[in-house]
Amino acid sequence: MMNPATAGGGNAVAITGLGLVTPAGIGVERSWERVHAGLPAADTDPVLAGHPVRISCRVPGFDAEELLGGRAARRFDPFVQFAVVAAREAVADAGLDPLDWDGARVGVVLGCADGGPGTVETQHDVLRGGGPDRVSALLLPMQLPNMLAGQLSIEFGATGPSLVVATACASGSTALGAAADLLRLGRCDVVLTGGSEAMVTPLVMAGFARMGAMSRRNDDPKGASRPFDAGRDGFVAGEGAGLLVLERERDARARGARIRSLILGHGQSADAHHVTAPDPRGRGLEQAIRAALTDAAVGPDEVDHVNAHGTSTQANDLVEAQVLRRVLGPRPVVTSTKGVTGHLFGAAGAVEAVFTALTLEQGLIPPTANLANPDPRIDLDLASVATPSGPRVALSTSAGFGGQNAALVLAKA
Amino acid sequence: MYDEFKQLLETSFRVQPGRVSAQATLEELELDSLDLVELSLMIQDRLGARVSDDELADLKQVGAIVGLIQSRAATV
Repeated sequence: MMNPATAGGGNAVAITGLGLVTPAGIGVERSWERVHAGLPAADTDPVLAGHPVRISCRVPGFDAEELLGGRAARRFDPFVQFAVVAAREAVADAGLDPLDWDGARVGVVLGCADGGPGTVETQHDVLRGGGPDRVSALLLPMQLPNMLAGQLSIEFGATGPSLVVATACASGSTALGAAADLLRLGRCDVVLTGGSEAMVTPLVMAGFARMGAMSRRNDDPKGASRPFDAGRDGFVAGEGAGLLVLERERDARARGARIRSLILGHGQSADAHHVTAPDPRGRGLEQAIRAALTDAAVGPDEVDHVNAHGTSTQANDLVEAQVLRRVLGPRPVVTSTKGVTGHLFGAAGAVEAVFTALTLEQGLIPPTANLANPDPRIDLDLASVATPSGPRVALSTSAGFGGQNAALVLAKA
Repeated sequence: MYDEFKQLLETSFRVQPGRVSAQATLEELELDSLDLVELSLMIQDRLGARVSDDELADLKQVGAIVGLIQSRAATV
């Protein structure tokens, strides 16, 4: 059995705070409860009336004015609103007081695929209807992807490195890896990291539909996102944010923080193959996983659990399953929480890292919703029900358009 | 006009009711330079007066701004 004290080459990073705003609920507890129960969040989306795909996973009951006040409700695109709410939860969970900390030692590293396309679409309508002088002066500060980190730096007085990484649907995982490295290199003492996304907008959804990437089960929204199931026909688009507070493990232990789980290592790679199709043999994803295991100083046979990218598309799930089987063998219990949440794009990796941290902390693997009839070509131990197997080491995988891959190795604290 | 301007600040800029007064400055009401560009457009649309964002920044106080809106609206 791997020893958490020595794994990661003494480079382990502690997750000391968690925050979630997801289609499964606002807040870690509510989101986890629904993911754990395997209740899909997808529903008919009135914004998509008349579209070929009319289902999505929205954050239920998100009232920005109530949660953040009128000014933020008016001036922040939803991708920033989700992140601020989740970040407040994560910082409070870590027991840190932003009024006390040395802001210059606090970094902010977020992942995001698309910034604020909803704001762009609205303002483009204004431009077409009324001309350039009617376009909002808030257009750029609302929609630029880097505002995610910029606004969180403002919110928490964090004056250390502040950046947003974009690797499409791998962005959240890429961000966590970059955040861990800032700590390991000693450039920060605390990093607020994660991902946020609000790209379920008419234009973006029309584009995805044209690519044929999304499920068309408009008449059965709850059954639409079904990772690894033989009947899967595409992903269901979601929105939300996952935020984590990271510190060096020794610092977290020294201050007596509650360590929710550890990040032992991460790996990044590029398929260098095609803009949207995964490498047919998944060589890029395999490279990222192997790099993460090496970084973590963990052998493939020590991985007990995988929170897979598992998008519910034909191509992703089959290739990913083959890679996982090839690298890790048949032992780990594999799940995809996207059956409940849908695909949160640039937030997905971060949200799934939060779920993985909770899985390790509680010893309880959440089910893959809608896994009624596993794809017979997939030879993995898939969790179709909640599995209390007490995993100690877990892998979380992400892959994005552009062929960009990221993998994280987490361990029970 | 004061009441209409106050209502504009409260509904469109979500300024808390009770905070707007003739003496209050836009900065105190947490409107920044970007908001003033928006406010200028709304004054034109809803109150019928052309007041630039630079003028709003110079006048600062609600009372003075309402005075300018009144003088300009009357001549439109």
